[in-house]
Amino acid sequence: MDNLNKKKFNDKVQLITISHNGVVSFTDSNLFNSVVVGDLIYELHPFFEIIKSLLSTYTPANNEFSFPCVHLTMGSASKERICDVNITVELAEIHVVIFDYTTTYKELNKISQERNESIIKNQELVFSNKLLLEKESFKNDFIANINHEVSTPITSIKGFLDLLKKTDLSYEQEELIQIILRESEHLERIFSDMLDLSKIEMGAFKLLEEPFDLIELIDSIVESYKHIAKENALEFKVDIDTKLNAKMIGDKTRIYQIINNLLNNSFKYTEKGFVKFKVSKKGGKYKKQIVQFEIEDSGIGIDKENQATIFEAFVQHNDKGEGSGLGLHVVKSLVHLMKGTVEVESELGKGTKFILDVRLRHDIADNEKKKAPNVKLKAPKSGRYRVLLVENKRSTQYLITRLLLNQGCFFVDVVSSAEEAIKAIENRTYDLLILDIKLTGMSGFDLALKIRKDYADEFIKDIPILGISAIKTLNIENLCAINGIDSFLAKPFSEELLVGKITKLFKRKGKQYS
Amino acid sequence: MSKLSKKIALVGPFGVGKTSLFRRFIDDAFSEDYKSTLGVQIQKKVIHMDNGTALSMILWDTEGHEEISESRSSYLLGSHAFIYVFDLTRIDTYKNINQQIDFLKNNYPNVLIKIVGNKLDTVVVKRVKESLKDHNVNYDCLTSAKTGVNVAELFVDIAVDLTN
Repeated sequence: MDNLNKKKFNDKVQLITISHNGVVSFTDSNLFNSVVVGDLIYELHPFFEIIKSLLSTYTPANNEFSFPCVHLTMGSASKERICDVNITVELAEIHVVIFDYTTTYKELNKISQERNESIIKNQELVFSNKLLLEKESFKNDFIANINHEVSTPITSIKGFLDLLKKTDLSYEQEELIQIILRESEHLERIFSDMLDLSKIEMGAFKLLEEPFDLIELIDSIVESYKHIAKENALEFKVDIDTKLNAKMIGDKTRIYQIINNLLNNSFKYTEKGFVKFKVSKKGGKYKKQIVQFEIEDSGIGIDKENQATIFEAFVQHNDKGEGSGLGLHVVKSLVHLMKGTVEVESELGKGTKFILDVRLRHDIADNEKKKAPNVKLKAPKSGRYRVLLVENKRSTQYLITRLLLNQGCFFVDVVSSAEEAIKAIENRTYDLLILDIKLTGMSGFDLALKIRKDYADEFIKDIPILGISAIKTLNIENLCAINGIDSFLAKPFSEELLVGKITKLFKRKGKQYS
Repeated sequence: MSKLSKKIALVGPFGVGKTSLFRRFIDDAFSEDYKSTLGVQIQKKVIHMDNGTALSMILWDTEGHEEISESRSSYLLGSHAFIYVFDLTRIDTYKNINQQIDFLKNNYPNVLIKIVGNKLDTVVVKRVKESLKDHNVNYDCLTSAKTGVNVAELFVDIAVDLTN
């Protein structure tokens, strides 16, 4: 039988017969020659333990069992074979037939390996991408929240410093206030940069397209930095192209931010010598104009190998240890959004030059526009405006109250919650409601909606509402409008901004002003 | 001393780490390279229980399939326990896990089933637990075949359950 098997199956099959108690009564030696008559099959390989359960379940009609693709090694010298094993249980004995398909299975496995690897990689990519998006979203929420938490105290600090500046101070006290103000502004800029970056990365950042006066913008920048240059004993060279068009359309605030970041950078890293600010008309056709800004300094400079990464986030190639490393990254990101370019030329120890090209639209229609007269708030004939301030932060309550009382034309009532506000407006007529959006309990939005919808009395339902908040989500102004809030002021704000908003709001709502 | 022999089949989708758990438990070894399992490989490990029983755990490391119903029934035949393994880094391996478990319960009643999330070393536990909750996965334990975390505990638990 052994010879017959060898001849018939070309040494790829081994036949083993065992008794019901597992003892080998016959075997050939085609595949595993260590198997001999008298062996207990369960001790040859753990696979054969399966026979025990087959013995308890087989029936004469269902006595053949097939186990494809089983890895078998029997005997210490035996190599692993991948086999199909057929087991037939009969009343007297059990027949085990082992077919060796190692070569065939290994070939097949190559295909399956490639397929599995490809699917696994794809699924892992999906997972890691999902994780990345979640992390990104968490980071952005975190930044937005932190920004909100920081904006409120910064508003208070700056506001109180403004108030303090108007009191009798010694020279030293004035200097100290200046330092605190400067540091607060620095802190404010860092958080503002973080928020801007997070919005840009989310694709939620939108540039404004509105008319502005470029020359006025440049003048205001020059004025601010003249003082800084004087304070730092640096020469501030200014060169403005007379051919520049003043009336442009674009995002004035962001252009200011870009130039401010670059100039701030130059002044920070220049201890002696000069900072030069040059603005020129580079080109453009009809309405489109390319304006080139050059900011050059005689500061510490950047070595060649670091110039490539200077615009990356959290990169600082200096040992001054100041700043967040975000300013230049914000510049690059904003310029990119404006479809402009920014380049750096620098030599270590000699200075740096940033060249910025910004594409703007020329506001041709502007020539016919007349400037709206400045509106200055005056007391109404009745005496003073009565304001209800709904704000739960004590410092902000105090600050806004002081800022309004300074104008000399306001009475201010203060409450801390929407519920208290409802009682107040039902008992007294107000000219203005200043409403913090993030109140505890009923929110500012809910209160505004209630005022607009639940009251028939026009002195209540038509009350002008100015929303305030440190929340800086992209659609906050839309949300305010939807909820019946007439105007919105983001924290931190200055006295001028607050009064300006109130003035505009009164004008819009037809309140008395001149 | 009494002797017992129990068949435990490792099942679940491919690439989830069944062979790695098998190797960690049998040889206390691990390899970063993924090599898909062809058919089934079988190994035995004897555990000496506190009650004096020598339990032979016959582990059947089966090839992975996305659907458990695609597994060869002869591999699952006669099992005393199933370890259903999924990959914590691939949602596809656990998003329909309850259907897979139901298949096992319906076709192999009275067989112990342990649901195991592997590759614990590569994930943020809090986050992954949220995901498992979102997908309604009632797992028994989370393991790392790479670091060995919870691997021995898993097999000891099974041994205890099978001998009680």
